[in-house]
Amino acid sequence: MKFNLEVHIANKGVVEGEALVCSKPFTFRDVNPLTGEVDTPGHDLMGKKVAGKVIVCPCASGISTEEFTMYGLKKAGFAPKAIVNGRTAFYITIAGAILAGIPMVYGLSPGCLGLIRSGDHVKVDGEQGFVEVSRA
Amino acid sequence: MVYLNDEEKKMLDGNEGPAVQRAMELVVKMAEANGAERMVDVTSAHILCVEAVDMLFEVTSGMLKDAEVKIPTTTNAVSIHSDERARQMEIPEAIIDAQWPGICRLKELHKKAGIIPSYTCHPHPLKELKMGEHVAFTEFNVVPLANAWFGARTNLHGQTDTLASAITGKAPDCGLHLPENRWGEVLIEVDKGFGPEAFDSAFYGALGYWAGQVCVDRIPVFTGLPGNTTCRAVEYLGVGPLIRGSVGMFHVVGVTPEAPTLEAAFGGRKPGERFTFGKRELKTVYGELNTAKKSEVDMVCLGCPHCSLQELQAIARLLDGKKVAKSVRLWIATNEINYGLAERMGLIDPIERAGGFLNSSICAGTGFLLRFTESLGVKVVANNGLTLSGLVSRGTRGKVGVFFGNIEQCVNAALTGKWERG
Repeated sequence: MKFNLEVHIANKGVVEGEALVCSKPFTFRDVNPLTGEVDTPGHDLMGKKVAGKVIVCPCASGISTEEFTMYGLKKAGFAPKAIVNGRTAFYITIAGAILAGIPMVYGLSPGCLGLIRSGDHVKVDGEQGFVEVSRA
Repeated sequence: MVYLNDEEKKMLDGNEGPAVQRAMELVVKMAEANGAERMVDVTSAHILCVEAVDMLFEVTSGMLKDAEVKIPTTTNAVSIHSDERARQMEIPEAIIDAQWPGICRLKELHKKAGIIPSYTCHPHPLKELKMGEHVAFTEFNVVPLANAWFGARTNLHGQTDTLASAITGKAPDCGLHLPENRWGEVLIEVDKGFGPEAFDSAFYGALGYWAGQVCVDRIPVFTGLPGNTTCRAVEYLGVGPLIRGSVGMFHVVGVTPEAPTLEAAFGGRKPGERFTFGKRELKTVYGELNTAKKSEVDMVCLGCPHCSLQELQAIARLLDGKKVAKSVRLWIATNEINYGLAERMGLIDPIERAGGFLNSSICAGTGFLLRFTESLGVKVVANNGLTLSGLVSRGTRGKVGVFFGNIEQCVNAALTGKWERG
């Protein structure tokens, strides 16, 4: 099965990868900068590696240093391939995505966002403004 | 596409030199990302200087190369204010070596670019903000207070784009810059069962934390808070909606300027959802924030946000003639202005005689948290700040326990070495 979702572009770029879905606001601060794994106890994605994945979450959160956390992950080779957000995109995460060069899109209603599951193959088209989701 | 006027086009075309051009390119990128139709003129900026010193330096120096800021730009707290002081505080040499040279280089950068070296998370006295004024701020304490209490307009900017706004005097007209995005969305009624003594700084912090959880990315409107709720209380309240959710704006009906009435706070619309905050909710929040298992405390940090003069007076009074427990480090942070005044008011002596450290310009938390706590052998931190509490528990992945409370509780813990559970 395959479907397309229309999105706003926060940072340009076209990439494909496996979706990693978090049901709560996501901050890269929960990712261990030395391993690239989520290591905050009780986190939806505890133990999961974000490197090379497409992070899908309702919105991002984080503290004011989120930008550098993202840039640091990118430098260490642990950055996700892309970020897909729901209704809103966190301003500071957009700044981080631009700084770290991570494609980022947003503007999905909770219903649309809920259609994407962890493990789906996702193509993020941050040029045309759509997300193509395929599931085996 | 974002509309640019002649002045903005000229900046983008490089008429004002490569530094302004580079900055304008980023402002335009942020505008496009956020779907902004035009730019606003911003009158003031606030940037970060703690944590990740190397990366911060790299990014800041890139943006500030051959640049000067066009608008008054203040700086947030630093991790170490003086290497000598850091040694007195027994911060390990390795940490001082890792932090101090970077901070010195950052300070040089700021000086060259004409940035105000305020080094505080409470720069508002230097800002003189007015209602409706557009500004570009970053940081969790600074942004909500500017929006909610002063009625100034800013998104929670990042470091790079705040610098870009400081250099160009421009920011994308989106998010909280637009009046229609500032109206309330969720109603939070504070239960009438709370007596006047309940409304301390910890109460406001806890209420904000809870609001952030239930509102996520929606703007909360609070009712049922005392009409004499102070600027300081609103400052404590504002951190939670950002730290638990992602909103740098809220209203307190009858208190904050954009909420003279409930109707005004919601822009005439109906609340999307409504909640009541009562004693049960308060208890739940304290339960979540107080992650320490044992009641022994080995570090007490006050000044998240940077202590006000009234708070310093209260701390000095509570410590006067007493001694901080041998097993406890007491670190208190404030800004340069309050530090100078505290000195003249004779507040520093009683604090330091008791064994506490009063520091100007350092972050009560960030600087030492992620790096210092473990090397200092700290197991439990008691503090008065939500930002700090979150940083300790999240930053150390729960390895360092937290107690969150008001200043009196924290000072008491410093004197006895134990947290008294309320």
